Amino acid sequence: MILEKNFVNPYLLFTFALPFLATLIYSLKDKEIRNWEFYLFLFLLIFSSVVIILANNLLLIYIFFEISTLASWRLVLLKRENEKAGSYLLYLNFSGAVLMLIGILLLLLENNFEKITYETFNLANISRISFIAGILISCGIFAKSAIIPFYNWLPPVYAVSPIPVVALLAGIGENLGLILFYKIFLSEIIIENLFYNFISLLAIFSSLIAGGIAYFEKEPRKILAYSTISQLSFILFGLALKEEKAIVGSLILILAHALAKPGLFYKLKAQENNVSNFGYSLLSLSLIGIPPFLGFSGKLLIILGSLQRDLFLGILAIFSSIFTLLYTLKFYPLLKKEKGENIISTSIVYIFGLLLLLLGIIALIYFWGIIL
Amino acid sequence: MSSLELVIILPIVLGFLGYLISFLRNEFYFLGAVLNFYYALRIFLVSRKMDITKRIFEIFNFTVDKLSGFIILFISLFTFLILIYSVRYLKYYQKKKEYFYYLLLIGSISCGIVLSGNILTLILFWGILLALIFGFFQLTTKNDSEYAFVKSIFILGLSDFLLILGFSLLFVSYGNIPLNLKISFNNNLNILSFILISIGCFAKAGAMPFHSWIPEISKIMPASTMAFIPASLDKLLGIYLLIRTSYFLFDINTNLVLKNYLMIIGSITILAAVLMALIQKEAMKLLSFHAVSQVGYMVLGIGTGTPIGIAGGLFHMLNHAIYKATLFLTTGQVEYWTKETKIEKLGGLAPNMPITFSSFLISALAISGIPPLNGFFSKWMVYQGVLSLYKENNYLFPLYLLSAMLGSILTLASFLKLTHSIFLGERPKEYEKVKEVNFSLWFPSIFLAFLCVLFGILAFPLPLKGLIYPALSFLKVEPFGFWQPLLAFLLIILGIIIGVVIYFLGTVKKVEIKEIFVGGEILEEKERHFSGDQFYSPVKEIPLLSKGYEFGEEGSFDFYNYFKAIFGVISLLFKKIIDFILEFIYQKIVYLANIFGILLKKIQSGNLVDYLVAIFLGIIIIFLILIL
Repeated sequence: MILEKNFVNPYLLFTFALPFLATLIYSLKDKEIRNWEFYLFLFLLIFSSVVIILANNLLLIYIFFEISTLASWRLVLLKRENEKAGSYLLYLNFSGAVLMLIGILLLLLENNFEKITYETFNLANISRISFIAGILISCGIFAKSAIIPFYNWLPPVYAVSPIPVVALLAGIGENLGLILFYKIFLSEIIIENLFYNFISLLAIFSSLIAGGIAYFEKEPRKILAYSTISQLSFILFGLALKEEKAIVGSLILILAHALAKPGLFYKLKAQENNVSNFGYSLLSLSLIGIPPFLGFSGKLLIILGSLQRDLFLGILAIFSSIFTLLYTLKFYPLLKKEKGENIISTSIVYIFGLLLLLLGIIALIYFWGIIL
Repeated sequence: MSSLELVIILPIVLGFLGYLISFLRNEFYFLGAVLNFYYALRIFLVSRKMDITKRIFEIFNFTVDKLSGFIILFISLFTFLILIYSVRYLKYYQKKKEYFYYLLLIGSISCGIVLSGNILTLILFWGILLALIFGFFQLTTKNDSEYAFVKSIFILGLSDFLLILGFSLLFVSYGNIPLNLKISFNNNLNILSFILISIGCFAKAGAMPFHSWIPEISKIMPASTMAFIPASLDKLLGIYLLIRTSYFLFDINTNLVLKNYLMIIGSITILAAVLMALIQKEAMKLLSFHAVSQVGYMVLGIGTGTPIGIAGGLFHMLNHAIYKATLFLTTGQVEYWTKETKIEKLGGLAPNMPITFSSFLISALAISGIPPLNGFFSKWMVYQGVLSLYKENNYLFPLYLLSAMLGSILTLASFLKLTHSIFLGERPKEYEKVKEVNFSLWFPSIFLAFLCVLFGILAFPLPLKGLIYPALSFLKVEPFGFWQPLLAFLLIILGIIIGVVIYFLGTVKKVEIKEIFVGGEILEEKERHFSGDQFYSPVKEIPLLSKGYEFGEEGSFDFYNYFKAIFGVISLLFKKIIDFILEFIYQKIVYLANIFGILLKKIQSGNLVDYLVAIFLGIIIIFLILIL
């Protein structure tokens, strides 16, 4: 019931709304990024994201998937000296996209689409996807959501981009891949189970490895970058488990991550006072996954789903969570000392923290009652 | 709203008002604590007669039975006493506004944990408590507090995560069940859940190997925090949940291995922690190691599975909360004037602080298990529980008994050292003007010391018959006649009277003080100061123990270090192997693509002949394909 389209689509739009609003308000105060280019590509990114969520047409989705890549590339290049990081992003995402296109073509051949018309691209017309086509399409998704082995672009981009851009990428841009995975692979489509097992195994290893590297790194921005890879892989893992519990958990975790990660980045610019520190504590607690914060519900549902499926996967998921605890506690004191001046950042950190608490309590009361 | 909700909500609301309104701050905080205690008392009194259950939002459930009734009473009592103490003790603390609010919040959420009637409620409150402790430990004003903060939150966070996971596994198999189903250990998943939950309880209570956050946190937090969190509250919560899980949620008596698991953890905790405590030179750290060591008795008692052992474990938890809180509070009182907790710098403060000294002495004797104080009584019950294992053909019992008794002796030894170093012996000159502390500081500790005496002398009629036995009514504990506390008390009083009579009869003459000459020189007062910090240092040189101490001081017994090392190595491997290889491959692909681009560029020479050759070759290839 929860996973019906009427419920999920507005929910996904809602996950975009908050990081988008935060960026918009923040940009009003920051002279560095307040120019036509920023707003143009910001709106392009948002528009393409909305189309990806609402559209039911594979061709349309693919086109806007690419447009969103272009938009994020230009956003990273707002500072012209970020060329190297920007090209990382572009190359990897486009290589992924090429593979994805091949996958889509394969999919067309498999489904006997004799005449390629606009209607035949409809998601509802797809009934089965072969393993190879699935993997090829997944490559584009991996590149977008920075899942290992297509993750190299993310750390350099996070290291140099302006804060609101990083927050946009973490809150919106990278979630598009996960949303696409959800839309294509988790409806009434027949794919062999091997595909899901393969993806879930890859995703959980990706989460584990990125978590490990995050614990190794020493700079806050790098830790946050690898932490993002780890979290997104964990969400993908939940989706690929194909259990109702885990999928709901992943959808919850998308929102939790879309609030927590931009919030942590805004902490880099926030003033150092009680308000921002309080908000920051709440964000970190949600990232670790402590009840009653939103991160807890998502994470626990995914772990429970994985334990039900396979003990080995469950143990890997637990290890990944332990890494989350380790690296969060590692950067917690580092980020606390960051001194910025921006008052809007401070309030964003505070509001996002409180939202995570509030939504977490709602999720705990509402979802747990229904699902379990 | 009934008292079940008010006991949680009122302190939160009143604390918030106190946080906002500065001129009535202490009044609001005080009122919050008083109302918390009042409603806890009401819940306690109702729970004597019947169990109460209340549903909230369909999935949450509050339940009170006799066990939770008496635990909640003591939680609120400790919150109240420590708030009174802290108001004076932390008068000049930078973040006292937040400190007091956190104190009230932690108190009320702990009540929530104890009131939880089903799994989901418990998970929720347990998590909130961790979040609050996360905030509370940040209120330190000391520098370089990061290590201690990260370490303690890591240990607590990891163990709480495992505990929640354990409950969630049960949740998946059985649903949102109440906590008194007596599930049997018929499948491995239940055993796994029990072990995961017990890890959470151990870390909360401070049993080994999850103990190392307690000594660490003693370095950065004031004495009142130590008296509140590791000494009283976390013991009450951890041991409460252990009993709740072992005998209400599951029935551990059906599984011998798990019982031995608890008893082995208990015995090791008793001995190892007390050995570490013996050589400490800092009062707070010494007390923290005892806070770890005493948990061993509780876990051992609970693990025996015999009625008297379980009752002894529960009673010991209560007693420990009382005397350990007193010890921390009195050490804080000493620190209040002297600003010092290193024991070599203290000494001779007994005449200056008679009330502090007497409450310290009583609680030190109680923790060492001297009759007729409460600590003796509960330890005695635990010993009897261990002895009765003989009947169950569990032949490991002599080892358990030995470690428990040895632990008790060493506890006495280390408290002789602490009492001597702080209150007896030569007084350093700078402390001559030290006075007795204010009423609000000494009242909580003398009250708790009084409870030590009361629960010792009237152990049977008051705490055991009134609190412990009803709470464990399912066990059918029989009254036992091995020990008559009242008679022992009277005999001890008689002995003291005889001693006093002898003193006044004049057989003991006043001593004569002479100057001390060493090498022809009179020693200065400073050099004459004989501190207790070197007591038992020869213990370190005993062949087998010396290695142990060496390892202990390096942190080799600290599971946190191993954990960090293992995960550090894994993360290093990930970074150096996987990250490096993938980056290398990516760079090579980019390199190849560049070469391909350059080749393409070279073909575009602008020379007509080159293009003609290309066209010609192309035509040949197409022909070949067509022919073949």
